[in-house]
Amino acid sequence: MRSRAHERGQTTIDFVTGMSVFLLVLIGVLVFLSGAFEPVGAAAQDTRPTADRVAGSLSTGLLGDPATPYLLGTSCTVDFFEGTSPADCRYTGSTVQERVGLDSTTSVNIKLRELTDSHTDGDLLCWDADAEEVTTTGCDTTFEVGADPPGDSTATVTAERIVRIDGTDAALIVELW
Amino acid sequence: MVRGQVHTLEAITASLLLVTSVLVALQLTSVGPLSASTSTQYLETQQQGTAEGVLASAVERGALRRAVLFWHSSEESFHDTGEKSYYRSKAPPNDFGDLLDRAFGSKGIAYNVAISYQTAADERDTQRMVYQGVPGDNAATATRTVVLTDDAHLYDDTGSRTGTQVSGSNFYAGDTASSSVYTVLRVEVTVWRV
Repeated sequence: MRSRAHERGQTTIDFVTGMSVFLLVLIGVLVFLSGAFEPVGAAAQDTRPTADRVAGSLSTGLLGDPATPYLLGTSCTVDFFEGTSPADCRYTGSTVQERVGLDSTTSVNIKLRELTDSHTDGDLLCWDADAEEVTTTGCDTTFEVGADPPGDSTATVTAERIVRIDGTDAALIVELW
Repeated sequence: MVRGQVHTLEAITASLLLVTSVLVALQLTSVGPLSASTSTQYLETQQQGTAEGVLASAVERGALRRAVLFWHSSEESFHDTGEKSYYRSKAPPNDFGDLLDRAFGSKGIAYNVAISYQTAADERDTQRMVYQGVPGDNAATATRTVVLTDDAHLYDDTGSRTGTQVSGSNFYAGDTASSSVYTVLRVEVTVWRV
């Protein structure tokens, strides 16, 4: 065997080098191709402009007067978070997705938080029907609607706007997953 | 028979063939990531929406007008700014600054506030209120106008209205209109993510 290898001009190192170079390049090409086809599938990035669009339409038209953007009308906002769609408000539909223009397979959570130094720590605002004011405790209607956000396992996309309702500054937070 | 085959050369040739065919296929079909403008458009929209919301909120409770008149006439600067006539790293110590700080302070978003007005020579001049640096990529600007009448008064550093009426000598903008309107200021808020 060795004499045949000597006659043919091949050594074991020669074989090892050749096969390893070829196998490395082959595996690299296959990995690259499988990665190149990945963006063709549905990606979580696609929902970010949607969340932004929902937040924008809620803050500039659906919950208030389009002539005064970012100033929410109190009665229509309370009805939105209660789940009703009165005729004089600009949104229609029975589910949250219908009202903001999403398809029913997308889960959404919309809430209004008090504007403190860090948005995620602000208290949820709610409506006190007896005192007829927007406050943080002792309420009848909490300003949160939609499914509960999932735990840490699912990636969610968040968009927010600064709005003003009934003399209170608030952060409108829209979460999609 | 002695055959001059070399495994390494064959392997290299085969690998080159593989890579070349992949490259040619890529050139033909131009598969690539989304360009920067389409994938980050939502960032600008969100910044713009937030800035507009902050301005709308400030206008609704009059905080913007008070912030624009928060001027120290003899120092020719806003109150408590230090050596410059505008605020550098902190927000203005008034309601408008408090709103800016709550909206942008902890979110890693920087903002500039500039006030544009017309001078007597029919040109536009700018007075900075907050300057935190040169705006980065994906910066968005929101604008709001504030009309000052002739009987507008300056505000002192505690936020209360003084007895000093605005005039060309104690305010950055001069009287440009002959009617009871003193001037029209344009407040521009530029936000960007650092």
